[in-house]
Amino acid sequence: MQEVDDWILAARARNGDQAAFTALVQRYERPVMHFCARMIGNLSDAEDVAQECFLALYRSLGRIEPRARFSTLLFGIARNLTLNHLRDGRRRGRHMARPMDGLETEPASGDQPDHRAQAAEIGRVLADAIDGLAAEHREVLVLRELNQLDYEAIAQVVGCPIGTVRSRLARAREALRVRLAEQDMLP
Amino acid sequence: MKERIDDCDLELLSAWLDGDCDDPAGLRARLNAEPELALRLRQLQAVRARLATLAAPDLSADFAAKVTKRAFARKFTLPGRGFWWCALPVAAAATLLVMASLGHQAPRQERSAPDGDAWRMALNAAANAPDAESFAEWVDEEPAMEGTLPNDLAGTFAELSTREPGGADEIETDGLDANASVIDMINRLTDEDAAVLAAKLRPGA
Repeated sequence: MQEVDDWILAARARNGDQAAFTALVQRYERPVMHFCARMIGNLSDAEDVAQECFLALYRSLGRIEPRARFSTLLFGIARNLTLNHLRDGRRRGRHMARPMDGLETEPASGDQPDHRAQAAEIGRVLADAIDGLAAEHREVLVLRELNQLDYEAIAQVVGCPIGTVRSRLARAREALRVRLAEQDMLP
Repeated sequence: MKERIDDCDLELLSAWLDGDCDDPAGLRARLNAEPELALRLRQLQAVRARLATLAAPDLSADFAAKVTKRAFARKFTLPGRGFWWCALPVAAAATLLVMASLGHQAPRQERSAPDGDAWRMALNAAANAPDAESFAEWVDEEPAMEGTLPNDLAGTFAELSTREPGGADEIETDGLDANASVIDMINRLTDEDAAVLAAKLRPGA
């Protein structure tokens, strides 16, 4: 059965159809949460921000027009909220605790325990390296590698030219490469 | 053949990874001729492979249900009492202007006039309101509301006017939506309801 278009669900939600809104949230909850978690680095805060993202989406249903891709619009909201959250955290001088345990790598089925431990270690280094990136590099990396957005969509979400996306992405990947190379985790 | 890998090379390799390379044949030739560049590409491919294994975080099982419930809840948070003492006169002035313009457009029948003194006082207060700008911004951001009864509005104002300073700012009502535009609500008031509202604005009411 063909999936109902995002914009159709959005239109139904605007007209008060709660099931349509729930379907929309279910469709995007994991990618949005993944983005928020990698941007913020704190699972509990990330879930709060992801919730706010969908609430902001709901509030804007009456105003938005189906001109762009729905996912671009949604990630744009998520991006603004995560950046606000990071800014607020810095303003309050709050230390951003990063309890990301269990989030580092997905164990492959059939992995030996020592392989699993090694993969977990790589995951930890990688998560740390992502965390250490400047926000403008981190966001393009996460949108590309974890959310699989193309350059054009990323440029729309971030609000910059495609060339800038390309160079930020190259820098972010290089920073991760250097970090993994330092730990002898690369060929 | 280049001696060092520079930023342009990194962008080229990064674009290659995404299948977005403008000159794939040229890059292929360089990869064959430059072992360091070829090694860098292999390393970037390995980084990418590692990134693909990063787990997506788990969400609460009822995340979607929780968000939907919050989104559709008819509940809203009103700004503090101080804000409303500035905002209400501005809103009242806006009502007066709308009603005056409607008065020029069509003759009306059997409507009692709002209390002139109260409206004059509201206009005065609006002109001196320190927070008129933030009130206007707030109104701009709120989407229009549908189906709100004027009496609900008057009742809410009445409740606000009797609230103790420092009391809870959150009010739940049955028919009043969170995302209401105050201007929109006021535009729907009849003269009678507007008179009720004006009375609420009178000091000591």
